[in-house]
Amino acid sequence: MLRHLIAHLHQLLHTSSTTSPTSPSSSFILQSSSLHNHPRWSFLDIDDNSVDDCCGLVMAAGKSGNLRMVEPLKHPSTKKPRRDQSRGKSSGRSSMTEVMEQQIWKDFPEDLIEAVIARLPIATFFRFRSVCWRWNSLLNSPSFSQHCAQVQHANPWFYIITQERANSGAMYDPSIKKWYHPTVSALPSKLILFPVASAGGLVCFLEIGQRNFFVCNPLTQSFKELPARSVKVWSPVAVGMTANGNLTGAGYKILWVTCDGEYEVYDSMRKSWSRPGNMPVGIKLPLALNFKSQSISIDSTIYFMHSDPEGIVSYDIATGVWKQYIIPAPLHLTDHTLAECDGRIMLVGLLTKNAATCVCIWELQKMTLLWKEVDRMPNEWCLDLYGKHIKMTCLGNKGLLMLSLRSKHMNRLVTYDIASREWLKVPGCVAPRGRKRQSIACGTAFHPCLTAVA
Amino acid sequence: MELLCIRQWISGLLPTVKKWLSAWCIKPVGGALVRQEPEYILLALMGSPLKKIMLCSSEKEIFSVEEQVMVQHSVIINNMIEDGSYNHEESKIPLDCVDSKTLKKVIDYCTHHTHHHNDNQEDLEAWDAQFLNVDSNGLYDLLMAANYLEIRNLLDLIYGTIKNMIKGKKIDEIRRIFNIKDHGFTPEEEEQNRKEYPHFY
Repeated sequence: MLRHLIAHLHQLLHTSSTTSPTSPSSSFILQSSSLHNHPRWSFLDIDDNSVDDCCGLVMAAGKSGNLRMVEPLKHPSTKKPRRDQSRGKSSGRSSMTEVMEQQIWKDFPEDLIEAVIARLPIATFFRFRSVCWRWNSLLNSPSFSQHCAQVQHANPWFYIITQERANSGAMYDPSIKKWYHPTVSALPSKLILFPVASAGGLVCFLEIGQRNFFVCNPLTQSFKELPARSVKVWSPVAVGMTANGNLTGAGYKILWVTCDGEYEVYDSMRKSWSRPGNMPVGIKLPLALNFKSQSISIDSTIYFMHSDPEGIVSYDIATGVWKQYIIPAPLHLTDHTLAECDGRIMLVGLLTKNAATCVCIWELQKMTLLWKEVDRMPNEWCLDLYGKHIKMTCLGNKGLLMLSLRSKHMNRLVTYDIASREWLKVPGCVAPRGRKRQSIACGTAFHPCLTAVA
Repeated sequence: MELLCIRQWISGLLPTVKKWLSAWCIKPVGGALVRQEPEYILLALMGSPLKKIMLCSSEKEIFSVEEQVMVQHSVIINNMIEDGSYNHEESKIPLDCVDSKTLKKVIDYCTHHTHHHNDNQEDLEAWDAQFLNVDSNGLYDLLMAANYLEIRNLLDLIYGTIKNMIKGKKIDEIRRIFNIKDHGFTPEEEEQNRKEYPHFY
């Protein structure tokens, strides 16, 4: 059992394949710093494959309850959220200069006020909760939920876990290019939880060691631990999540599946796991699921990446039907992940030929079941990757992709908007009171929804 | 009278014609091929004016506007016409809570968006920005009219504008603007709120 856990740890934390055993920059054993107050918290040194360190990590996770990694910060050093730039549909009005006369606005109807508040930037909403008790209780109001459901956020946010602080995450808002670092995590701090899927504004976390699932709204930090699975499996699982509809009360479903073809579905309305059946005979077991790729969900179908034979395995939660599609992968491809945009299935990966590396995007042609290249990273950026051994992690695969490109001396984050085909650089994730860019272990995109409740 | 009969006959024909016209609705406009709604083509071919409806403002001023335009945008007007409570020849739709100035603007908005729905996004957004360049009173009246007539996209637009107006303001200002007198928050409770989500402040 320990070997399973260790294998999983290796798999999940291994992000760089640097082979130099003496290079200090890739060691994750942290110096004693103000961030740590527990001497046994040492991260896995991926260059040193000693089992003892792994044991130390695992044992520490299981033991005491005072493993708070980060002391609550009183004065976060991050800048106060900058005033949002009006974008796109600006009417030219500046919030700074506009004097709003009470005469006009004092009788503003309450349901219309809720519609306006639902459209405020998330950070502003939290600030305005203190306006009055009514505004403070909007998060629990069904009418406010309805308004939130009607608001189309242009971009998803990203929830990531850094290697330096694995049990508290950070969030990135791409529309204002800002990182948020919640100092107090709602999730139990002694656990290491990895974000594995998201739907309907909620993020699903899986505990290290494949034990329990947690579901959380990263904005409000409301979270729930799901009941234990009926089957205790120690093999790695691939996870998918779908929302039952647009409204926040509609619920969600979570699917996990192993390579042996075992799977279960959690229904949030019934609050229980169920085993709808067995894998169909046509799908050859064991499955060679590609665990590095996150799943995608389009309507009620979840798609997983499959390695051998190359392609996709899908499960329709509504009908309970598994399907397998054999799709040859492009040549010289590594670190590839599934992504989706408006119902289209995409693939993003590193194409390395000779010493040249490039990030490419493919779209699945549904008629022919072939990947067709639709875009690649601009040449100037690809030149920076030349000759380096790059590892790419996809941190969000819903419409807007966030990609982490890392090598021995490089730690870069970019976003790619599939619809507008725009590549943008992402400011580094720097912890409050820190200066160094943190290394992102994993992450997922989620659609920010204030009223989503786990 | 004859014109009326022709118009009614055309309206009766429309559903059938719509089907086989919809596949090849292409009309040369200024050298470029542009897709047009089947009704417009058919009516244009027949040489008849488009069906109009009458809207009556609170100041008893009558505005004549294409039925298609209002039906596309206003849920209220669409419902009135569909359930037959509006008789084209005799009635006008009374809008007692919308004054003439606002009604004219609303009609402008709906007309522009119907006729220019094929324009590119940037042009439409620029037009919208210009459209909403009104004083606060005008904006408030537009909001009330759009809410009453249930014009979804105009409502979203105005909500967005108001959101931009308030998002940078301090809490005391918000209370003043919306006349929130008994907010019920002590400074300690405000601080408590801030501590709950310090990263958003």
